[in-house]
Amino acid sequence: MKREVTVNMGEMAIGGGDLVLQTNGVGSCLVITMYDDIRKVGGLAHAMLPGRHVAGVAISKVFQEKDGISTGDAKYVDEAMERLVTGIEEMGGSASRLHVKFIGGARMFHLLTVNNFTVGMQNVESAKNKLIDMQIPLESEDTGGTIGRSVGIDLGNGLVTVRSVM
Amino acid sequence: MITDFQRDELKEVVNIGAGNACTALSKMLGKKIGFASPNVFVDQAEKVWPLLGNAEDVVSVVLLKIVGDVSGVIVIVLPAKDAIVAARVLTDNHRKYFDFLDDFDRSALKESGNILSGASLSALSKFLDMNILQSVPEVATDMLGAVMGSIMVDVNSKEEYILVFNIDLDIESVAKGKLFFMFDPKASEKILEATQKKML
Repeated sequence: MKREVTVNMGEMAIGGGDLVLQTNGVGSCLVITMYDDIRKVGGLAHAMLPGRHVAGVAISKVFQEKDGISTGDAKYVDEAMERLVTGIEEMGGSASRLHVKFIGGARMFHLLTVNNFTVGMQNVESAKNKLIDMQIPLESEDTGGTIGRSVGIDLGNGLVTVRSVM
Repeated sequence: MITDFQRDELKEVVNIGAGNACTALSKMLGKKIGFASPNVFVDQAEKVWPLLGNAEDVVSVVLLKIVGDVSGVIVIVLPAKDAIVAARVLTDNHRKYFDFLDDFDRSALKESGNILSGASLSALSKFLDMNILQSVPEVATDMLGAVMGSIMVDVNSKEEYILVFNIDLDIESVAKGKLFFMFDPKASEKILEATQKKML
């Protein structure tokens, strides 16, 4: 029996093969899933904003651990990705084997577009830049558009499920 | 964050606005539009929408931006089913079957959002002696988390804490919704200042 863990907006979870991580209602936020298929560890982060825009602030790598699940703060895309990689490495995974997927970054309202740029687009861009920094390839993405999504990842086989209601 | 006295002041101001708005809409339509007295609180943006239900619940949302001397957003949240009922009431059964929102229904919802917020904001701006305007409305139907999350992120992209007014709406006792006014912190300071001047 798989244990299902719900990840809220602005949070992240990392764990082993017995878990299914699920997050619902992803609009302009970006969900980042990372999975090491050899060690069967992975994580999911539901990030809200592209970056903190404050230089020189050290990113804390604090995780709360409980029942083999590490959880942490994932409000900003760049910080969340760094934390995911660290957390997975702590659990025995390797950054060089990670399968990375992006889901979300939609534009829910035209009204919230500023200079033809939406928060969703900025989130995706920030995440891609961060991947280049960390030298990790992107496996696939389901981003943009005008629909909300729900995302789940099965940490037993790395299968990512994306659902929408519209 | 805010004192009880300030909370009461703001509540009163928004109460005036919402009262005006509901009267305007119900007079125009000849329908009963009820509203409860507003709730005022200051919280982190991402903590507001979980009060409305589960992230996967499908809702219809009317969104307007507040511009001018103060900035923020106005959001009307209706569960998808209630939105359809509301559209039926507002358009006086213009279709035989109502199972989804068509362009006409969306337009009706937008317009009622326009009237609700227009009347509230004009009352507010008169009371506060401020220039408060609204953008054109927009309607979206999707998962609660997705739509509200996107709005919150937009408000939050400037500041951490926001000022929220929440008013329960009731259309002809068949459809229930929630009306939110959300001001970013700078705007709420301005509003508090203006209110205090007014009270002296």
